[in-house]
Amino acid sequence: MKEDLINIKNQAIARISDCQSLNELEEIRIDLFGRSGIFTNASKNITKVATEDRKQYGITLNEVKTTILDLLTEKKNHINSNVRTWFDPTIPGEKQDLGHLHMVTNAINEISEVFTKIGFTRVRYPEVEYDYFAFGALNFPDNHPARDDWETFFVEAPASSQYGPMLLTPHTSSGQIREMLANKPPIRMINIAKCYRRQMDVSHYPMFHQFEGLVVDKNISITHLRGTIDYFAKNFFGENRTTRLRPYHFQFTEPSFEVDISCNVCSGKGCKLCKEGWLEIGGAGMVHPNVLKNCGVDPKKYSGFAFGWGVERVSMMKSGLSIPDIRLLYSSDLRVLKQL
Amino acid sequence: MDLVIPDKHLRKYLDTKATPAELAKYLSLCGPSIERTKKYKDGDSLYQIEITTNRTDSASIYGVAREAGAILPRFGISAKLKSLDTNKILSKYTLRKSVNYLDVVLDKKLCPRFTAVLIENVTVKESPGEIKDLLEKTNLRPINNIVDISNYIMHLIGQPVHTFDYDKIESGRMILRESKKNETVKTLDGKEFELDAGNIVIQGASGDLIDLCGIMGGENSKVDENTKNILLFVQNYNKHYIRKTSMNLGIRSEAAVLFEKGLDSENVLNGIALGIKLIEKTSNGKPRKDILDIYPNPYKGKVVKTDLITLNKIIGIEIPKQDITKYLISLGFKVIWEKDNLEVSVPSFRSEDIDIPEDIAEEVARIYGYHNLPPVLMAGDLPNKVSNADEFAFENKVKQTLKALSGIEVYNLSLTENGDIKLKNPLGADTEYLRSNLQNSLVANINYNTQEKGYIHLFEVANVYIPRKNDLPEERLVLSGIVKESTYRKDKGLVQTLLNELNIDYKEVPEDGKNFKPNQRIAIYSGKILIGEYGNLENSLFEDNNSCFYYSFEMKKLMTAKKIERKYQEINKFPPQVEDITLTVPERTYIGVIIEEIYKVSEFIKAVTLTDVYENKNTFNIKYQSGEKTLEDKEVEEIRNKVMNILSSKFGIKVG
Repeated sequence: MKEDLINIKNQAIARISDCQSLNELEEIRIDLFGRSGIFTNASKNITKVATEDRKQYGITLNEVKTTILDLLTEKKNHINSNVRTWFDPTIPGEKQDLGHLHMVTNAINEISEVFTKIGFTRVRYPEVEYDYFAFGALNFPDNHPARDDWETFFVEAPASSQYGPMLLTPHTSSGQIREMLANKPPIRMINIAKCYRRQMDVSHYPMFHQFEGLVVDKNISITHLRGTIDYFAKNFFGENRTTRLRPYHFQFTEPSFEVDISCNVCSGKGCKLCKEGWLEIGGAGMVHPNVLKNCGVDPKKYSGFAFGWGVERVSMMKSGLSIPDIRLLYSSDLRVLKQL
Repeated sequence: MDLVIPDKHLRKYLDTKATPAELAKYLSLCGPSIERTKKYKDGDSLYQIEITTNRTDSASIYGVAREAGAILPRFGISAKLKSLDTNKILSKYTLRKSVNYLDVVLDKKLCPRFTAVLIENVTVKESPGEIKDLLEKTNLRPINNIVDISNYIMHLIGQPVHTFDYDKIESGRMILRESKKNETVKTLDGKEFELDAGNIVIQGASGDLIDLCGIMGGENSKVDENTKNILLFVQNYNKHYIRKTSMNLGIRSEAAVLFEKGLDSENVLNGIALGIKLIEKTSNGKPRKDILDIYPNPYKGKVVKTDLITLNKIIGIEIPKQDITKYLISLGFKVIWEKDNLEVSVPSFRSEDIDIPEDIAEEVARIYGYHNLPPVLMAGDLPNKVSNADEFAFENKVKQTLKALSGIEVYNLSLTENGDIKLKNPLGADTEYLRSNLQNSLVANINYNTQEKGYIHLFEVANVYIPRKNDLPEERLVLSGIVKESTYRKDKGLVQTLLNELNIDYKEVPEDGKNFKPNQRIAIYSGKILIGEYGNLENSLFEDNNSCFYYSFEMKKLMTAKKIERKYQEINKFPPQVEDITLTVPERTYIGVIIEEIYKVSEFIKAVTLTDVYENKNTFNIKYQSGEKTLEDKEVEEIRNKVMNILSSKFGIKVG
């Protein structure tokens, strides 16, 4: 009886080794282990084996089964890889040389997209301006510190008899004047441009970008400013972000606000990055009636709001890149640039 | 303006059960912004507060207490402002325009209010604990009772106070005037300054300057441990002068930072009163009964008129009259309603800041709470305006294409060491001009990146600045790029791919140009308009002496350049014949010209592509095709022979 088993094993080994296809291999398996297969029958024969030999028979039976099944699996893998062309899907890919757009560019695109959806038109007004547009028409008093040589860059050029000295605009708010002088209400403007201030340290670079929103129409109130800012925050930063206004002071808006956005790191609970759960975005306010008047808009008929925020600032807040020195944004070091 | 206010000292003037956390939160929402609250070692909370420049009235313990008194009740927390009780102190003294102990000549334009009082027989010693406590918590070193009281009062009410050693003021005479050029003054910190004209100074009887007003006292008149008699000195100065002096001399003392923003002349008396009280108490000094007070234009009050509709229109919701009244009164205003018309009397400490109905709206809205206003998006008409969206979309397409062509975008500072427009007040010689080209910046970028060994393609889209007579400069948007460690053919292909993607109909003309190697620049024209250039730059521009490829376009011209008309072309049903021909080209022959020549031979030559270059052998792939029929071998051979004849006779080119 035991010899029969050994025979079954030897025959199976021979057949498996000669086998060339998966179909044939499956036939062999059925011949052996099918319902009335050779091995199946042999294992049923255990009842016919003398009691004293039965244990040994059982052991052999198991050995034969394991051997044959291992061989079948091995052969199957072998046939598989022979039939298919050899291919290694784990080999490392060769990446393409895609370039890189600066984070300021990306941020400008995203910002314009959010505002154009609610009817704002993107514009770009001069970086080199006259004092009148940067300060005078924006209700800055003659002696205001922002008009000092310490804060604003002035250009060596003859002053305009009408508009005063030439300078590099320290904010996109000068675009408010340009926009209102060139267009009648309703106005919904988003002005994105370079600005310059005479400062250079870890958190200041003499050149930066701002985006300035201006809305002028009948019956524009603080609630509209809140609505617009909230819309921006949710669409730019994420729908679970909220904003708040706090009292502030600017010459060209009244009332004026500082705008905060809820911190995403601590979800408003307060953490190292924020102030009690809030992050400062920038200033905003209701357009000062003097500014409207200076642009030929009747403040009795129209009102408006404006905000001017740093592109770099909102972009860094969104990306979560903790850049230790703002000057790195304007580095040309490729190792830095590729990360921006 | 940032200040530190200890909670313990705030509560001396504010009766409230609000916790420090509540105070910080609610004040930030409706008033001065509390940036952080720090615990001090004795358990006190120190508020770090940012005060806006228009609100010097709240740049003090008392000022913040006044704001808290108005704000906290809105959050259901009772808060009562306590009085400074200075009237009670002053009732024992007389204010006089002249006194026998001090003879003052002053320019009222420089000093709207001048007060002083002589206090005799003081004992200079250590300050009491309460005063030292405040100074230490606000990072000031206690010196002696007299000096410390000045600082204490400044922090308490936001009014700088000075004390002179009276015996050092010769003959009790002072002239307060504008400085003259080249005058010198030695301040009490021992530093000497040479002045320009236009600073406020006090000259003593001998002609020496004894005070740099509003900034810092003079060394020669300062209080020291031997001082017996002092002159308590409280003024208001012209803010513009103070700002100029402080910035010019770089002395940003707390007094200067307050004075330069403009202070309330009415508050000066609080300074004198508190000074008298505290010095008397801590030094046993005896104040004279006559206080000198030169105040030619006292505050007469100010009224702003507005109405309910205006206020509600600005705020965007309806706030009831009685609430408006409550908020304004809590801030120190007086209010008279006549039906819906409102007259608001402005207290002196807000007179610089409150002028128009919008200012009143701000006060009402902030106390109501901006956070309580609903966010609403605008309804109404959209602007009927032709947008220049095209311009931005075009710029974007250029950038996206260059990104696909492996370009890395860089933003360089517009301020450089040379250009055509100079700044009056640059930060340094290397940022003195507005740049007139992007090339210098990009070359500098390559030179900066010496650590990069392989291929670099950098590009920038930015304005360059061209002066115009009697006008603002032209801000010309330019695209420029630079490529290192590549081949001319690849780089040229890059530029051409960009131009094709932009669908631009252009012509290339070899023309030399500045900074390019001779014969290695192409000018690009659209019709007769020069729109850009590309080519190899001079080696000498680069630190490693290796040339780079450079391209540059004027964005506006690129955008408005003639575009290739795009029309659907029927697919040619007749198969083309394609063949490679290798030609031996003599030295100094332009391949571009050869290709043009080949095209000219026959309308059936549809494409000529340079596929391989080996020494002087150039392989061209030529595609022959007709739209009417399948070309026969014989016909193609005829064309080919014609091509060979022309190339041979014109250029001396041989096959093979």
